[in-house]
Amino acid sequence: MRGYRAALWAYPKGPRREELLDTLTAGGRTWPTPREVGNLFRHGMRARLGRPSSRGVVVLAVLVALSTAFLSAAVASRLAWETAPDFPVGAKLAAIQETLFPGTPHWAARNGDGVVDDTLRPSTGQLLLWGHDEDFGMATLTIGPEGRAIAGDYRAWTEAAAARLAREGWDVGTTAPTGPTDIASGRLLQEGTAVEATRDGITMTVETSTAVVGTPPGSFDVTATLLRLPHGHVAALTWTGWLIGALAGWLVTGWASRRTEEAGPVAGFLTRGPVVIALFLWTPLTVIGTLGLLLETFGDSASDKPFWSLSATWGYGVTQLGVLLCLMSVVVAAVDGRRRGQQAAASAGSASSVR
Amino acid sequence: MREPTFWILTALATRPLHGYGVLQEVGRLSEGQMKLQAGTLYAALDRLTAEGLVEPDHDEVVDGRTRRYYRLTDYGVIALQAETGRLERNARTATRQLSVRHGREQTA
Repeated sequence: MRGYRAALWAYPKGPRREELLDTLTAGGRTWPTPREVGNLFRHGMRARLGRPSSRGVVVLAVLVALSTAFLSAAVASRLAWETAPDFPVGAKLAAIQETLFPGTPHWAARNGDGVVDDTLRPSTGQLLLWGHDEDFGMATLTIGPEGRAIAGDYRAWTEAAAARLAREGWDVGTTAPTGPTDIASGRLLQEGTAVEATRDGITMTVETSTAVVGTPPGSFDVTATLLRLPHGHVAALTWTGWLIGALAGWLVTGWASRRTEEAGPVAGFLTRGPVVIALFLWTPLTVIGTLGLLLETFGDSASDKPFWSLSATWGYGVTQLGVLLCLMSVVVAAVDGRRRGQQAAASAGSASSVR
Repeated sequence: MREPTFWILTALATRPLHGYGVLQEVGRLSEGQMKLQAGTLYAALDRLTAEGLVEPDHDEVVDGRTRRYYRLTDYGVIALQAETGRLERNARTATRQLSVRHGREQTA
């Protein structure tokens, strides 16, 4: 019986749970089969939306759930990153620098104090009000040789550096030529190289160039940028956040839908209208952000921007407005449901006093 | 009309039934071909109630639990008659087509 009761949690509170329990156990069964659990979950979650003959409410709930899932995943990911291992420091960093620039004095500069880097360094208040600057991204650590330039041929140096990194256990990718493209011929005018290496949750992009201003003739500029890869627990917490957000979005939509099922046209419009506008604003950001999350989880290259960056920069105002509109819907549903509940109680009271 | 809906309405055609009764009756009438899950049944009953084809008949308390009976409405009867007529016409058409084919095969 407990198994059936647990499976019936998917249904909203009310007599339907007992009615179903009676039907399910009438044949003498006491424990649900996996098929029954799946069936009860599916139809129970649908029952939570109310309006049994409406397909529109299902579409609305799916879109809301996807949007709240994305927003919740973004918050979960941001918090999870706080617990991720930091960039290598001290001897570990020195070892990486020594591998890249053996016998050469070197420097290291961190871009961003914590998890992310916003060049404007906004206060918490500014951040809540305006979001992040457009150039905001994940924090990086850049290392290079003292004076930035190394004498010699950049191709030969890159080849040797890649070999040294591979010997130290780095997974080194192929070296790509870099430089501007000649518009007339479409050919790449090579001025440098870029090679990516990965080890211990860090991806490092080593770039050489002869085109950097101030580079002496016969020398080349070189920097290596370190970026942290999302650890397994970051992905696990992010997707947990996604699931919690999806469930919350679905349940709140269901609650508001059931609460306004008998509502008048004005209350109905004031509940649905703001959500529809919010979804119109949110959906493009949700689609782009969710694709980014999938790439971040299952892709094989690191991104210097979090999957939610668009919602925190250009799309911040839209995200904020959507949240406010959804809150407005919830408030209207709460107030209208309460008002109609009081009216029903009053009419029931007057009916019993007449009797 | 989807098949589960057709069988639920058919099960309720003669008398009001509670949920388990509908499941049993559907299984019996369809000769075991239609095995409805409880979740599917109540989703259909909610939808049919909202569409006015079915309505609650009465409640009965058994072992401390309320058991609700459902019955077909007049509109539900009309909808079931319409669906039955459609199925009959379809079946007649298919039978006619098959007998034509059978006749050709015998001639050949």
